[in-house]
This record gives sequence, structure tokens and C-alpha cells, in this order.
Amino acid sequence: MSNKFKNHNFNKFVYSTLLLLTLISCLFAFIGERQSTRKLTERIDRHLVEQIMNQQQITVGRAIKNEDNVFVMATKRHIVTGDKIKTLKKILLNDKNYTFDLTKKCLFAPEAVFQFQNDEQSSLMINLFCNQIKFIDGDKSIILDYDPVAEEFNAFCRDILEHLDKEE
Amino acid sequence: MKPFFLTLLYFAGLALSTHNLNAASLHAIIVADTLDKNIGHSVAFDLENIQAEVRNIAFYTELELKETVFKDDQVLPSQLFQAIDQLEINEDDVIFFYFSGHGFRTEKKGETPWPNLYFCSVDQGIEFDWIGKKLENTHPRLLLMMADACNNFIPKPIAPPLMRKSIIRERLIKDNYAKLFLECKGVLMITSSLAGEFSFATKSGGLFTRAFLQHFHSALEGHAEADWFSILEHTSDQIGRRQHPDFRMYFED
Repeated sequence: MSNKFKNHNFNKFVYSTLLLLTLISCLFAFIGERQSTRKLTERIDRHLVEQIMNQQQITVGRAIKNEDNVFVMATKRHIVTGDKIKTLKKILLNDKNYTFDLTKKCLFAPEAVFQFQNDEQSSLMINLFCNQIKFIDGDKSIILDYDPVAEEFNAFCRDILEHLDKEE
Repeated sequence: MKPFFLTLLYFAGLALSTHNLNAASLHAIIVADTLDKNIGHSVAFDLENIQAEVRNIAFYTELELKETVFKDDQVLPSQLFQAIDQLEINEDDVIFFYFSGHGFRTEKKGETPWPNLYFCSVDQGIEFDWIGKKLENTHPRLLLMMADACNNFIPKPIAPPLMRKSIIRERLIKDNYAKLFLECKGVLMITSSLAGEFSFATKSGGLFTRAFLQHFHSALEGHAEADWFSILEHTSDQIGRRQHPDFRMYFED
């Protein structure tokens, strides 16, 4: 076997390996870019994650205390659709936006309530003062801290609430 | 030889018993809001760790540990204040107050660094420094106050109500009336001036009566010692330029 032939095979091997490595890193990058909801699904009910995924519109209102001192949605409401729903889903359905192993010893006093369509049992309450969100599914509820995305999500909520306040 | 050993044993026993009588105490008051759904689990760890630490403190300092723990459904302001009222503090004692739970503040609180502690089962807040003042009034040698709670701002309309200061004040006044009128036994006689002296009258009452009432109320409000001798001493000091009250106390212990 000539040296030329040996070198040709070696080069082929190197190029194939490089190509494979590039493909693997692209695959990892793609997987990394995808929004994972694995941890979120572990913490809140899968049903609730699916509810969020499937929402085409969500009713939003300010949170107020009722006569039993419980936070409920005020009667003045606003329906969120289109791009806003996409943004909301993008924020909510991403593990990276939550600090799962850390929570604040903060009094949960929500400002906004997001009510799902066709399911009055499920809703979200947003505490903008503490960057906390309460996922409510019937009798069950869990509070998660969304500090990594606080600036974006709080601005998003405030924008909706301001819009709601301006409505007739 | 035998009587010598018996005498030695007697004095050793006496010394030991005296040591125990004089032993200072560590009063640990631990409030852990373990029932909260969100942080209860974490608070339970705090409780365990702090209790262990308090035992260490008592062991190494040889302070007698008197521990009062409020957890689960016992986390109530009324129970806490009742426990504080029942504290018997000696001048060498140490008080350690620890709270783990939710906390908050409103803009109205101003510049005080201390949060309002939240009692979730009654949806009520208590000012941390109010608890401090109440414990300070028991005059321990050392008071250590610690709150592991949020201190973030929330708007007044959605903030839980604070345990009204008037209620706390009312309790304090009641306690101090009890100290002065129910816990004393004997005779107390007071005259507004020494033998041979004048007593002065002002447009708004006798100089002595006005000064006495001022210091009496100050003691009731907790600004000064609720004790007859201190009240009368302060009264005398205030009017001492013109007249000197004379008082005799014949109190039984």
C-alpha cells in the first residue's frame, strides 16, 4: 500500500470525524435552545402545563381581596390573544425562567390573575412585588419564583394591566 | 473525722444548691410558621436547626434553657404575647427571639429597618420592633432578636392588617396597672412636701399632682419602670426646685 493511499484514507477519516462532531454539537445546541418544561411539569400538574400550551386566549384581571379576604379576579377583565399569548407561553413554559430550588419568604399578594379559557378551575396569580407566580389547579396550588425573567414578565404584566385600566 | 466529712458534704451541697438558685436562664422564644404551603418545609428546617443551636448555647454557657416554641397552628399573635407576658426574667437572663416565616413592609413604615412579621393563620402582621420593645421591658441582661423573613414593600391596600398598636398598648397598660395595684401588698403614704415646706398650686393643678400623674402615666405606657419607687423618685426630681415630696413605703415581699 502506498503512502499516498494511506494519507488519503487518513484525511477521509479526519474530515468525517470533524463533520460528525459538528453535527453532534449542532444537535446539542438545538436541544439546548429548545425550551424544556421537564422541571415545571414535575412541580405543577402536567394538566396545567398542557392547559397553558393549548390556550389560544386568556382572560386577565386585577387581583382583589373578596369579603373572605381571599384574592380573586376583579370584574373588569381583558382578553389576551395573538402575539401576547405566544409571549406568555414562551415565558411560562421554560424551566430556565424559574428558580426551582429557591423561594422568597415573601407575602403572596398578587396584582394580576390569568384565567384559562374553558377551565375556571385553573388560573395563574402573579405577584409582581416578589416575582412569584401561583399556579392554581382546582384545590391544588404552587408558588414558583420567576426571577430569571422578572424584568420581561413584569413589564409584560404591567403592560396588560395598564391596558386593562384604560379600557372603558 | 466523720463529722468533718459530713460538714464538707453539707457545704458542698449548699454551694451547689446556691449555684443552681443563681443560675441564669436562656429564654428561647422560637416562632416558626411551618404551616405555610410555600415555605413551610424550609421553615421546618430553620426550626430544627435553631432548636439544636439553642441547646448548644445552653450547654456551653450553662444557662438554664427555657424554650417556648410556636409552630404549626400555634403560630398566633395572642399566644406569643401571652407567653411574653408570662416570662419571668432575672437580671442575668438572656432572651433569644427567633422568627422564621413571611415578612413585609409598607411605605408607611418609614425608615425603620425592621419588617412586619406575618402570622399566616390569622392573616395579621406584627411589627418586629414591637415584640422587641415588649421583651426589652422585661429587662434581661441580653436580648437577641432575629427574624428570617422578607422585608420587601407591598402596597398598603393589599397588605395584611397589623395587630393594632392600641391593642398592644392596652395590654401593656393593663399589665402595668396590675404591677402597681395587684402585685403590691402593704402601705404607701405620700405627701407632696417635706415637713416645714410649701406645696405649690399652678393654674392647671397642684405642682405635685401634675408631676405625679405625668410619671404615673409614663410608667403605665411603658416609657418608664412601672414601680412606685421610680414613679415617686421621678416626680420628686421634677419638682425638686420648689418642693420635696416625702413618701414612705411599707411593702411586703
